[in-house]
Amino acid sequence: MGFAAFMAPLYYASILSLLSVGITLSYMTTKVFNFAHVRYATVAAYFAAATMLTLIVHHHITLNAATRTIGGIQYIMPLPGWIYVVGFVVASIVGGLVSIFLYYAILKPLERKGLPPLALMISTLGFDFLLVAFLFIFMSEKPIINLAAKASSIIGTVNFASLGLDFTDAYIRIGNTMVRGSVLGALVLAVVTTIVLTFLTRKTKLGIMMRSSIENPNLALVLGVNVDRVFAIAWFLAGLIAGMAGFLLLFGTSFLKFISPTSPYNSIVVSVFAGSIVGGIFNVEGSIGGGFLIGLIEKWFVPWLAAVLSMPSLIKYNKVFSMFAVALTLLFIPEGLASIRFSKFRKKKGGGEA
Amino acid sequence: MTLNDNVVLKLENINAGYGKFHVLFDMNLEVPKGKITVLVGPNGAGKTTTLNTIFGLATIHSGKVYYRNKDITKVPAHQRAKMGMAYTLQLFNIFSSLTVKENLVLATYDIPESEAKKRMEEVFQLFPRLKERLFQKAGTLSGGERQMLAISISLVRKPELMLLDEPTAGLAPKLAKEVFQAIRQLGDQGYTIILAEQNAKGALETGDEAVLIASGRIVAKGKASELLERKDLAKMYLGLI
Ligand SMILES: Nc1ncnc2c1ncn2[C@@H]1O[C@H](COP(=O)(O)OP(=O)(O)OP(=O)(O)O)[C@@H](O)[C@H]1O
Ligand SMILES: [Mg+2]
Repeated sequence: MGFAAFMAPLYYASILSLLSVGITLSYMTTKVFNFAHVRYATVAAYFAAATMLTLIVHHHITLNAATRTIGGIQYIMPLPGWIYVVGFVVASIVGGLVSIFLYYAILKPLERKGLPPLALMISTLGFDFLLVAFLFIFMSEKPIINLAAKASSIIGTVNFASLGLDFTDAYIRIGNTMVRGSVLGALVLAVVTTIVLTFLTRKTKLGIMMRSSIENPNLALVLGVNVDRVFAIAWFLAGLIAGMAGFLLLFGTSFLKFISPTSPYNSIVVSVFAGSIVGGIFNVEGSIGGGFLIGLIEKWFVPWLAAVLSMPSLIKYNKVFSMFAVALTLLFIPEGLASIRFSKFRKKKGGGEA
Repeated sequence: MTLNDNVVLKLENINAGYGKFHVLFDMNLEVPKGKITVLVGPNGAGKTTTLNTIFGLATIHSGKVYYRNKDITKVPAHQRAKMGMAYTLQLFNIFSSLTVKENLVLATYDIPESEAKKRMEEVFQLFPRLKERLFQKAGTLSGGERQMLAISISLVRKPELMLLDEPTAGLAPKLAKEVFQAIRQLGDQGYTIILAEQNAKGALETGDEAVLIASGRIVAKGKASELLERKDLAKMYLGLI
């Protein structure tokens, strides 16, 4: 297996991690499965792409496909670095804002009316339709911002297709392969997110408030914790991370395909929920691991099995394997893989201290 | 409006409940400083709802709540905690998945660490048993120890007004007596306490002032010791005779 082929599943797995953790974060706090969560990534990607393209056109930036070298490391960076940064920031913030909008404008008012979590869950499905409708407005025949037209005018300046490269992704040479920037970025981001969230939930005041609000909201409230706001922060973080994933997805596929409301990539939602449930719907780190595992099952294990059994069509059914993993988890370890490791860890720690 | 300096909390013509559901009717109440005010009454009378109203966890339909000369009718619950009110809930009043120590650390999350440590030591003087169980999961404590921890969570916050909802519920008589003694001790130290109790006898023996609630209305008020002597009330509402 070539290096690039080795990296591709890791990219997909990292993206799933970043999306699964948001499902878990929002479920832990409000006990609502957020069906709109994955669409945050699409909407965030749309805004990031629109911003980046507008900047590209406005500043008359032409794509630079040349291989450059810094400190002995070869790389290709078609766009100026700051444009990537802007895109990343826009995607993250949009993701966070969309999520917080759902929380404050829809979920909270419904909850105040006394609706049960199930009804709130259905309302997230409604919100998802709303986001899809939004995408249709912008991506239809006569969109307000015509991404496709802008993109083609830029693509026209450099023939990336002939280079066999995606037209906006950066590349870095590792060994004798050019590795995609988005692939490396996804891996790094998944690791960083794990570390930051672990630190945040275990070591900071906000984390303590979050954990107490999750276990017993009323008790946290009478101890002075603004539970609504703590939950809103969790939802914002979930959206922020989804936005980052959306940004990375721009490069992993052709973004024009990705941000379309009818994109085949929408089926990723199945895998994202699978990751959250298999890893641990009550455990942040678990869900990141779960997303990764599901990613590897779909993009590594299933293709391998298909090759071994010489049944290439098996690859098309890779999501069936994810669903199977979900079924097994719910049957035998309903709180996910993280619950196993966790109880052991706790016992050891308790024994040590007592 | 200004409260007499000796009045920490006042309910004025309160009608309250949950959503549209009406539980409390025309309630007027003054809570004197440094005293234990006892709320007694039968099941479902509205004792918990009265405490919830005071802490901002119920829906107020009309009327006002004053705390230390301030109208707090519209202040959210979490801010009332910051204003020096504490509330030991009737149910689910500890974090079961955390250890005793973690519970106390959590309760003092907004207090400087050295001060929090000092206060914990003070709490352990009142409830020495908790100190022996510092690293035990709160969910595995006995009923009595749980209530002690629940009270301690409020106490480490050094509240100016402490609401206690049925701290002796489900305890054996001997343990209940221990808890009442601890509450009396707090009263003697100058804490202002509102104690809601089904165990009318124990509560009235512990408290200074007393309020009898039935069907969401105050039916009698007075010194706790006087209420304890009222045979008519005892028979009708408190099941003491
Ligand atoms: N969250 C709630 N939503 C709707 N109604 C409630 C709620 N909590 C209590 N009630 C109702 O309000 C009334 C008063 O209940 P409350 O808990 O205040 O009584 P209580 O005096 O504390 O009783 P107990 O001694 O059993 O604890 C009851 O009829 C109860 O069913
Ligand atoms: Mg009650």
